[in-house]
Amino acid sequence: MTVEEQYELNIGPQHPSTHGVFRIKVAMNGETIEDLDMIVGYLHRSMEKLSEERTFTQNIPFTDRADYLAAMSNNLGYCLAIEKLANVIPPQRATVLRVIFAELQRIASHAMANGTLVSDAGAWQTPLLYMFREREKILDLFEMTCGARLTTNYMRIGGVAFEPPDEFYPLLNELLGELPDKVDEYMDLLSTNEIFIARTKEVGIISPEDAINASLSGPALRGSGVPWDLRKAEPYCDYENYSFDVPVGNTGDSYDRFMVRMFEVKESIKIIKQALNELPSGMHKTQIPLALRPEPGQVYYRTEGPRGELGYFVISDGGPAPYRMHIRAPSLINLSLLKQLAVGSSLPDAVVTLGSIDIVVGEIDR
Amino acid sequence: MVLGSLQVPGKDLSELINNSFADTIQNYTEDWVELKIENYLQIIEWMQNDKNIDAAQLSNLTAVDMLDSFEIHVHLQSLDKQKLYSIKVIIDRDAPSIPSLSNLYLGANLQEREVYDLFGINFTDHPDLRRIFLWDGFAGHPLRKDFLQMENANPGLPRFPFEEEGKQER
Amino acid sequence: MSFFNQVFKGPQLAYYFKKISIAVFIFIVIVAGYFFSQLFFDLSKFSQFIFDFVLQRSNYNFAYFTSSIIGALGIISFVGLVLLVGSWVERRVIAKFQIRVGPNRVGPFGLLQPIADAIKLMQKEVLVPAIADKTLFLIPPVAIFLPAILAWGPIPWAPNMSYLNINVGILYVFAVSSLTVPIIFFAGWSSMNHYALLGSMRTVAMMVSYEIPISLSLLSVAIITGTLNFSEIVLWQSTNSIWLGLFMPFSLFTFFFASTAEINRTPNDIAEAESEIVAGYHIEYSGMKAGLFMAVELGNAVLLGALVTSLFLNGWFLFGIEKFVPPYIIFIGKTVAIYLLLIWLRATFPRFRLDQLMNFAWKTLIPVSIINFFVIAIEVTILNQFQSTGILIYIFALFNIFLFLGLIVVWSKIFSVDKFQPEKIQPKFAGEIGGLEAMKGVKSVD
Repeated sequence: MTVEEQYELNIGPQHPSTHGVFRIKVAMNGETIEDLDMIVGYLHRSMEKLSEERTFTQNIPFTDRADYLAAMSNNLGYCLAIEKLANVIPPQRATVLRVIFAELQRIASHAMANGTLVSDAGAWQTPLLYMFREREKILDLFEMTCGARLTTNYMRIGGVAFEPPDEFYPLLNELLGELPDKVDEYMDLLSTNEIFIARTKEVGIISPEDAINASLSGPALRGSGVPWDLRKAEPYCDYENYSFDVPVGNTGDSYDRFMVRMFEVKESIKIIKQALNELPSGMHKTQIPLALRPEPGQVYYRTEGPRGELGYFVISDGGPAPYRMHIRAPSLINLSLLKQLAVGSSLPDAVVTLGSIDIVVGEIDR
Repeated sequence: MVLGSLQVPGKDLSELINNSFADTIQNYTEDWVELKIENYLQIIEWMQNDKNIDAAQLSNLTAVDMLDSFEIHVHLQSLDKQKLYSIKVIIDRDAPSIPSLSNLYLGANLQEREVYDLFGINFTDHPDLRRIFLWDGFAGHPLRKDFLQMENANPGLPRFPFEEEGKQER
Repeated sequence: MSFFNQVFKGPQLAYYFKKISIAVFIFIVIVAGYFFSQLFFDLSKFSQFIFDFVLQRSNYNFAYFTSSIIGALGIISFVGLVLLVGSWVERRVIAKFQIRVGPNRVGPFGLLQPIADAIKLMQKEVLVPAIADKTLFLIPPVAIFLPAILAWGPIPWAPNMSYLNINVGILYVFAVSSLTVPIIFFAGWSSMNHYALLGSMRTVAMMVSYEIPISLSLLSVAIITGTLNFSEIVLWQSTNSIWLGLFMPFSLFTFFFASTAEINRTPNDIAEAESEIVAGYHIEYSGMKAGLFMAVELGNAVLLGALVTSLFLNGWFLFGIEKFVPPYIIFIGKTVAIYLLLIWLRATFPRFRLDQLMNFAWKTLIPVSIINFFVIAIEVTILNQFQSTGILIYIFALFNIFLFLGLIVVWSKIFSVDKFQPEKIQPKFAGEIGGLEAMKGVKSVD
């Protein structure tokens, strides 16, 4: 005799694999998930409302706190949006420095994402700490440049805040020299590990049609094989001048998203090397008024953040503060398919799927 | 202001729409095309299916409080054509309601819930219209400009938030 | 690091002094250890002395009782020492794997860390969930110690040094370790927590499945040695000059892998999978009660090392070294080696999924174990025709090793365990940017 009874399980808000205060209420039958409801908002800090009361420059630190694992990329997206709104043109050196820091941030973020994914698959944090080794060096570079490791607040409207110190370049070159070997090491360790393959292969498959329809972006979209990268499609910061490839996945499963991130790290290394070669001399920022008052108008500016399409929708009414600022958060929108993916699968698969989508709760809740 | 390289200028988009649907464009500028609310769902469905426009992805959906009305801003994009379409709808502020895009785009679900939560705009035919960031029973919708003047408005957490239905305990 | 490099340009005198003092310390330990080992070479002398001493002053029963109490205390204190030192070893070794330092603050090299942990855990409040079944909830953390300590009884440490030298040693260990199942199930069930319930259900499912391959591999050991007594199994390996682990590698593999499932070690720790069901059956336990569960897990890992050592790795024998080093030191050394292997696995591998583990047990381990068992039975029949096993046993060992490899290959082909080759799965690079249409233009990496 079998008795089938649905029971409810709260995954989170505090759970090792929700990567923050994120809660999923699942209805389970045995080990199978039959219904899923995600509950977010535990980290809601009402950034969009707060930013309406602060000047354009004062809003930059908020963007650090949105996606706290990719502060540089978020700074960059916001500053580019406001520059477009206010017709500020940053100096050439600032643009190249921005590319360097955004790509370094991408490497650090992807290292974190992949490390936690393997931890979710059950490895006892060894891969996570290995990847932290490289991330730590990148954060050291951030620290010596702008004094902060996590919430950098480095980009400014019209440039970057500080010139990197002289010690920065030799250390960066050293890091770039060893990074490809390290990435290969991780690939050897993980991408052919039987257990890791068994856990991630054909788990959480997203078809390209669904991925596009559900507004997925970033590695989650490219993992499904859709070759869409805003750095190529809508180049900002002169990305059209750098030669790099856009890796895409095959089947759209968790393993492909993992591999896409691994390959993107390699492409980012290429971009940083080219940027370092072309780094022009000159000013690192232009002077803008402290209380910047852009012309009335609106802008929707998108950049390719580590988690996907990071858009800033800003409306100015001519005052010193934005009339409305909206952050198009890739972490939140990438979760659109979570229910569809998890229902019918088992709890371990759902955890791996969530890990491979790579969410940052600060960005989901804002 | 210079448009992004992908964005279709409002004039071109309004011509495209006008060719198929006459008299549906309220207004347009370089940045956006304003649709009438009656034709909103119909035109977006057409844009999703039309081969030339091919608005396959909903990039962004958000709202703006204009004090006398709400604006819904929708950004659609075509990946194959590499185009971004910016559409705007003005809706009534007293009883804000607009058709939901969730049946066309899976990605609209969470974004519309966010707008509902923070603006109180009702999306008709939305499959799962609940608050997303704030708890049920939170008084008011914070992204409205008159949030602090609204009835029952009391910013800050008086007590630990409960998820029971009904009004928040003070 | 950079601070030290700036202050001291390179290693200084203090650095070399530290190195030299460590070398001198190791030398003294070796010399002192040699003399002590000669003194305590055969511990049975001491127990015999105590037995005789008490016997002269009272009757036989009392003497027997006294010496058995002393023996039990010896085993319990060894297990206690293992729990303390083992947790330090595990944390330090895993830290080395993970490019960290590990606990190094409390005492020399952080050696007192387990004691500090225990004190901290004892100070903590033991929370009992309001809806939990109170009695049933409080029993398991204590009760789970019973099988963990009882199973140490028949372990043969050295010749004449086995607390329970009984003829049904294997059966005894097998029976006692099965006691863990209901205790873990009580723990999960009484907690009234869905995570705990999931964890205990997984444990039960896994134990039921994995005891079959374990018993099959132990059966192979039993038929070749003709005994269930641990000491005699060790002696059999010595007289026939072969380690059973070499003679039947598949039994060793089955026993080791299935036991990791039984004792919840990576890669089979699904009963308390941290990233899925947080801590499994002991999620609701806090303070020292949680500590007891963790301690038992660690003790079981060392127990597995001792079992593998005596059953498959020739116990206290090690190429004649046992004549110079006390045999129980060799035994403990082999046990620690197996324990380090377990730590290595834990630091390296991700976790299987429940259904994958079940598939592996029922579709691979059990059928292959049965084949393996029959092959060994045939070999034993042939070996029994001869007076001495001689060279034939090595031929069979070689045959078994190839059979082991061959069976793995055949089974992975039959059940297509590796459905895909990683080299075919390399991500491709986008040719042009776009959506579904552009997907057709994607070129694969060369």
